Amino acid sequence: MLENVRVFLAEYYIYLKFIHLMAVMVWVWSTSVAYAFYLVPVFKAWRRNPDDGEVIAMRNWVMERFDQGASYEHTAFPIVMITGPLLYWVGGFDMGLGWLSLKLLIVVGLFLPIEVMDYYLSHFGGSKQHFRERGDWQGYEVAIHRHWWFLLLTSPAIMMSAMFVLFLAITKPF
Amino acid sequence: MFHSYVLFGYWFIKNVIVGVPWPESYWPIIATILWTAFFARMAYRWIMRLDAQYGRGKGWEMESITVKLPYEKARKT
Repeated sequence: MLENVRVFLAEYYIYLKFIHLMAVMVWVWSTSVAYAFYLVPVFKAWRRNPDDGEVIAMRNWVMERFDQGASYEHTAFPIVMITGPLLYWVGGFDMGLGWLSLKLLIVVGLFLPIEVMDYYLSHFGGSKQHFRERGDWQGYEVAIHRHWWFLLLTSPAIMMSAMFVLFLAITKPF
Repeated sequence: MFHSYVLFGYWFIKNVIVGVPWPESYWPIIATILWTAFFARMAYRWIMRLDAQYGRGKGWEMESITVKLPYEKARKT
């Protein structure tokens, strides 16, 4: 039965690839402008002026907008994670391909745990909006610090790895 | 740590899952060590600059104005 499903889906391989690539584009780029031109300047201003109430107000607003904006990325990521294995299965790929093995190692070992944490920080227990609605301003401040630390530590790795994974997937060098 | 994971993971896939001997020279290990060292330094400087620990922000000025910031109303539960 699974073989029948695979044969059926094989006819739509190119459409699966289209969906996969569209979702990858959204996942990679959707937060880039907000991050680079809104979040980073405000957070840098906050780090230089940590007690400035006006900067803190701006910081909080930008962070919550960023949390909401991450919903595009977080909608795209499950689509990537579903269509990716489908492409692998339907396309008849195997782990003998070096570029694919390396790509999957990065996806599973880096992107997946980072995204799980990102979901938590933006939408679930770590969501700043939730702390604000509860009036828990101490928790809010802790959540802001936590999210900033997360962005600091993951930014270099994510930016370089995302480009490298795209390079592997497109050029298939080995 | 991550680079070790990738190197070992790739070794595992090649040698155990696929059954092909890898690496066939020392170059992958040397390249991993060199890249790890480069990435560690680059990432450290990136993080320090991102966290405004480097630089003084001379290219920016702070303007104090009054703004209204729209927040979504709390969801009724």
